[in-house]
Amino acid sequence: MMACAIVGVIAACATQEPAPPAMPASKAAVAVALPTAGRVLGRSDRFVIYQPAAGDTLRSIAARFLGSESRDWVVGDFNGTAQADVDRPLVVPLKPVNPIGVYADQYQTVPILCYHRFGNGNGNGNGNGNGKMVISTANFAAQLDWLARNDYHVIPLSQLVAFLEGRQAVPKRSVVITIDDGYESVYRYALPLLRKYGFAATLFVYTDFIGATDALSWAQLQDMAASGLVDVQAHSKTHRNLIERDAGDPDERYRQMLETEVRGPRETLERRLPVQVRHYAFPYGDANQSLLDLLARQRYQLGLTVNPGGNAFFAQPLMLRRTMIYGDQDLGTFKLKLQIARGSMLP
Amino acid sequence: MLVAIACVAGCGSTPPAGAPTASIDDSPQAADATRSPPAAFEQRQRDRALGFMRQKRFAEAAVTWEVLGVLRPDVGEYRERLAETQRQIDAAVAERLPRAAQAAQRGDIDAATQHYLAVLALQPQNEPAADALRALERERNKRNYLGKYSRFTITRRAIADAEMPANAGHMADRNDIEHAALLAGDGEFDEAIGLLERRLVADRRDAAARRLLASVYYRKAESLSSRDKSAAVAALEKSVRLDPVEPIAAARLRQLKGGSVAAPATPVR
Repeated sequence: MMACAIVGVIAACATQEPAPPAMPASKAAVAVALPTAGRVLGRSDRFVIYQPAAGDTLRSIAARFLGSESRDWVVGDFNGTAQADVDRPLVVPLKPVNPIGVYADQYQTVPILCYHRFGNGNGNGNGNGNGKMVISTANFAAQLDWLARNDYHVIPLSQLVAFLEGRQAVPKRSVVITIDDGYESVYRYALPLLRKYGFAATLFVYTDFIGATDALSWAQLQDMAASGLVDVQAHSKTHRNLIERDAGDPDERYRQMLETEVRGPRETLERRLPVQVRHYAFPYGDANQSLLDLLARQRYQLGLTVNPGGNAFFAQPLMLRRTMIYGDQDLGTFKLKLQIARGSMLP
Repeated sequence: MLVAIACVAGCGSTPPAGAPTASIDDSPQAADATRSPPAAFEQRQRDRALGFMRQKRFAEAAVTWEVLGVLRPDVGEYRERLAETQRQIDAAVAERLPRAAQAAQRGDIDAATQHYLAVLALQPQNEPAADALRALERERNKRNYLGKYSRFTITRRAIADAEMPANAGHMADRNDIEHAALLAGDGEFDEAIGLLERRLVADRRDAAARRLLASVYYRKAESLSSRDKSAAVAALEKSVRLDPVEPIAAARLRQLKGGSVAAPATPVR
């Protein structure tokens, strides 16, 4: 019996490269070729301490221990590094250590950027008569390029659900891109740039607008939904302000109006597109308790306002903050809007 | 059995070069940062842990002691340091949680938030503190945002007008109203004014654009009143011309022309 135990221990110890967790076939198919294994210096159920081999990268280490190279940020964030080095062992957290991102001096926030229209000019968004609401392709490209070069992670909006529940960390330098209304310029100008950088975005459309002048067509929406980059979600049916209620408006009529504006776009979008509608951007950014209650009953997970600021783990999922991006803002202003942490003044 | 224990301590990882075994010397100071990457790593982690302790960043210290324990299960000091750090965390949390609850009870949302954040900085997995913070945020939203126009420059009538049934060809016009509201809400008054004036050039009968424009001029006047009274008066005059039946702008105009720059008695809603 004891011999068996000893043999078992030796066998386990001798395995320098632990089997990675099972991963989906699609992920496995794209996994990088693993370099020669480095050395495992220590291991528990929470951590692996790993000395990289020549050729190792954070992506290969993430693939080896975390099951997906796309989780390289887990290793990078924990060790405060952007690269693997044979002379510097790395700690690989196997379980979330601080998924809520709260530390003694600051806590993590995720900025959600809000765009509307795009234009083909090179200047400050004044190319087609709608001023600051139009982002030129040059400015949008510069913003995406800056995010890519400065190690920001453009994450899908849906990834916030687990972060807000405290279940999953998101990269320290996370940012979400959203685009409101459903202008045709999104397809013409923004989509090619999103494709170029491989960045995800959530497009909030109000369904009465689809097919109108300047608006996206159903065919374009289908193309975008099929891109794997653009998640099409609801921005109401008519774009009216949903907290607006005339004096004397009967409760039942108001309730029916909300029902139409909340359930209608979800049913329409899910019928016409390969999407699950779970997120809702409020027209004018305004909401009230009746609207939130209805969204919850209709199984919406996230609601988006236009109240400025980043979103901490304790943000109310149906009242997320967003940061407006305007066409005349230079890169310096754009950087200032990326609030990825807030300081704590601990008493 | 002893063989097995020795194996657990010694295999699966290569001990730092020159590091003594637990049976001879329990001191991690023997780790020599110049001799091998694992030893240097151990030294760096040890320095980090001690630094975190000095800064009273106990959560980070605990994780670092834990990592050292994984690296060197043979070193008893790391386990002891971890246990001691956990005791300090528990004590600090026990002291903080009642203060947080008291602040929440007396309605001091900001103080309660900071106390709960302090608890979570010590214990990121503390679910009651996390839930309490979420509840505070819901309360904050209820107080500040829910049911209120986040773009408070907009009068109810302007929004109602903007929501009159429209055919698809006029959808873009409706977007303009929302966009102007968003711009005004961010203090971009001139841009909002430009957008709305273009709307009125295209359709002088656009009541929603007219009333929203009046409202934006009013807000612009308020933003100017403390530093440029004449510009504020000019903006208010435009507001009154655009929406003569709006009493608040007219009253404010009379107030400013009378020489007072005090805040308006009633905000425009």
